[in-house]
Amino acid sequence: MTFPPLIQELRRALGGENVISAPSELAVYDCDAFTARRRRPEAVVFPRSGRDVAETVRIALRHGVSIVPRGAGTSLAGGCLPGECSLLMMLSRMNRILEINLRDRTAVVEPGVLNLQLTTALGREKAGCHFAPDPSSQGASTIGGNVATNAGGPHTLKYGVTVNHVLGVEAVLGDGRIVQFGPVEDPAAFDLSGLMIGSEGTLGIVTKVWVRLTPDPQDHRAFRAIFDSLEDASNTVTQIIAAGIVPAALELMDQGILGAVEAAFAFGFPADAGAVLVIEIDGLTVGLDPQEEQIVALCKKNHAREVLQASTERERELLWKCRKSAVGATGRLSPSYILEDGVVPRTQLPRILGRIAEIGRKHQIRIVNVAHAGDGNVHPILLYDERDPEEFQRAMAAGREVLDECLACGGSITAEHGVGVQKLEFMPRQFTPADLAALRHVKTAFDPAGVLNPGKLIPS
Amino acid sequence: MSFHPTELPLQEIFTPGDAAEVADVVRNAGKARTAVYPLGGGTQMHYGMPPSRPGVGVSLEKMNRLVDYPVADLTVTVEAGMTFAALSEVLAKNRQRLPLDVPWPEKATLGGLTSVGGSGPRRFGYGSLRDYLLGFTAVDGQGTVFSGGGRVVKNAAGYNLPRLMAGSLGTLGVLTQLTFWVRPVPERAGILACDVPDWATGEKLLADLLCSPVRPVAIDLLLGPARQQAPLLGPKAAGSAACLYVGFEGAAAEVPWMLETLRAEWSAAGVTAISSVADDSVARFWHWQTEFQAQALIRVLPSKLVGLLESVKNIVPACSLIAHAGHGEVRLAAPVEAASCRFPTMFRAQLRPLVASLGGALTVLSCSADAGWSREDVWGPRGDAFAVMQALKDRFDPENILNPARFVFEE
Repeated sequence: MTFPPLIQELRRALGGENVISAPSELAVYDCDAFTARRRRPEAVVFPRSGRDVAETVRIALRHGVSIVPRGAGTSLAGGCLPGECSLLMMLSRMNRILEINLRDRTAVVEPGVLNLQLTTALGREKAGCHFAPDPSSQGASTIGGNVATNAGGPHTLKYGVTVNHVLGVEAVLGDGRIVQFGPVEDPAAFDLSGLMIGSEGTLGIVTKVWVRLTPDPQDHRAFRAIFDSLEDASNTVTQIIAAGIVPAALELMDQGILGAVEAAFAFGFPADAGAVLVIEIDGLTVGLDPQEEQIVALCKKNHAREVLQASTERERELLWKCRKSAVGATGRLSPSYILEDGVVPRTQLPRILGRIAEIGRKHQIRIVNVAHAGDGNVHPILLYDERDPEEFQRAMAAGREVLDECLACGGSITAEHGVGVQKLEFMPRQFTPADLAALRHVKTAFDPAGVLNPGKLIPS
Repeated sequence: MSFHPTELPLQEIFTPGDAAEVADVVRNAGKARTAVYPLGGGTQMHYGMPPSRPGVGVSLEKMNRLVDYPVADLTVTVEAGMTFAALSEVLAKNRQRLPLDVPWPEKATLGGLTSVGGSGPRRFGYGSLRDYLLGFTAVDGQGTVFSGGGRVVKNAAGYNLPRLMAGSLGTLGVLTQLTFWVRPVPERAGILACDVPDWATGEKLLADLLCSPVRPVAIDLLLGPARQQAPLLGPKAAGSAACLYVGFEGAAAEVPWMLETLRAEWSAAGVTAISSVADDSVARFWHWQTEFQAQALIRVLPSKLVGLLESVKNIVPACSLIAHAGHGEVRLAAPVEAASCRFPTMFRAQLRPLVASLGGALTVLSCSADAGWSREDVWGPRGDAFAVMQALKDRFDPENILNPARFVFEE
């Protein structure tokens, strides 16, 4: 079999087994978890090392094709959508944990290591620490992908997002050079590692990550607070934050999604609840009672029907499973959905949730909500049937209006999923032309040839 | 300590009232390729290379207003010329704070602190300024006003430009406005201290701390004269290697529990002469440390720290060392006799190779123009980051007028 020159060169450099180019095999790589747009790459490559990545970038430069790096492909914003004339670079086979260093509380991992794989490995070693970012996709998503989107998760309320837990990266830049930024912070250098986190593979392809490990809390307690109304639940959230309490997590599920969650997991949420808050506090045992008292008092003040503590570790795990699998459970509600990722100042949570309901009514689209409520990060899920193109259009319009409303509240169009292609059109609404020019300065400084994931994050 | 910008070759000082006026100054300066020196409180004038190119100063002193403080959101937006003390006072009324250790807070401005990107003892517990900077507005080298980030605590739209600006020493833009994430003030604070008889014990105590249920916000080792000067009563046994201070902050019940727990652990490990202090004395101690005049800053991974201290003590026996052992940061103050012109030579021949061998970073914090420091002496050899940094500099400040010469870029 003869291959076009590009494919031949890739096969020579990476080995035939690490290059896919048959059209039939490429079909499954035409989108990530944002399925509204699809495009087939020219080829899919599976590098095994930083050297492979660098060699692929150099080949791409010679042939004038771009590279779209991809971890597990869980991006909800189309961050891994293949571009025109692009190679899709699967980093999933670079999945070794290279070092766990408990004295420095760091681990060095390849980008394809799964988020949960690292935490599981640390548990196995009884390390007493973990990798703090815990996106709901953590069983599937890779640390490289977490770095690309600056991923969050429920516990980032207290512990911060990915950028707060990465000490350094090794990466291949747009000219094929392998560079290392960190792990020791140097006052003589800009924080280029920090800048690369959340850059969605447009500044470099991360080939190694030095992550910070966070000590496990001595103790934790998880609660579910049942409210009759969404408004009471969201007011409770803003009052907890305003009181200066920093729970480990403060999550909201509204009535619409509770039905699906209950059908999937039979946790025992009351069918008529207006909303549920999942609240976790952690830290030293001696400090938990006062926090619990304050939180329960605020819930009651806002008319919580009941506040129940998960009485066993199993119950706590099930509670978290309900929350983290909530989006998946919406499959029971409709054939398709759009998951949005807006963020507002935390005191605006009641307002944005009210507006989301109005927007749903206006466009006749059913919207159910989960939210990292403590961060003001809403995840409205817009339900539609893809067989009904008119309904799809209404869902899209409603989604746009939700993001506009987030901006009107002083928020942002994405808290943790990234811009990808899905939110490109909103960038000029959130940022001025001068702000966007500054983003382009950064892009061209790292990748003057524009070979790395072009067409993402910055509108052209 | 001098806070006056006399060390800068200034022809004129402008005091703009808003970002648009800053932009005018920069644009006008750019026409003649005149250097622009942003001026905050002047507390870090000794930091970086002494600039020689004549230019204009842009004082942010008029831009010191509180822009937006939605208390319940735990965020605050200020103009860059506001002092840290002024901000702290506003925040304290709501039992909130920006948990950073800042030298000369009455003078130091938020813009200056962000540009320098420094940190202090409690970085171990709270991170550094760049962990709290959510958004900013700045004026680039062509006089364009631009913003990055936002006013929400979680934001993935666009690149993380706040991370780029923090620590860029005013070389990419003149900061005019900043938004920070703030935190509640903890109820209590305390410090437990002990003597470290020898280096092996020191390393063991540090390693044991990682396995303890206590959660320090700072772990410091003090050596040399600094140890005697520290404003805390504490054990200072003759012949011991260092003094170890472990700082705690937290809720009312947590701090006493942690002090007792660690005291019991240390006693069980055979440590004697343990002392502790609480609350106000604790703040005084952090403050003293933060304003301690050091000539050099060394960063290494925490596991390399004790070895580093031992080696530095051999190279400069009479020096003071304040080591933030939890996060691997060391401040070195040499005795006066060593701080003469022999100092650069010692840095080149001994200190920098030592730090490099440990995979660390060494920065000269205070260098006078006449001591013969080169750019490489002060900032170290150019690493992987430099080519990208230069490319960024070329784009944000193509005429190289913003704070020229002080940082790693050529004049």
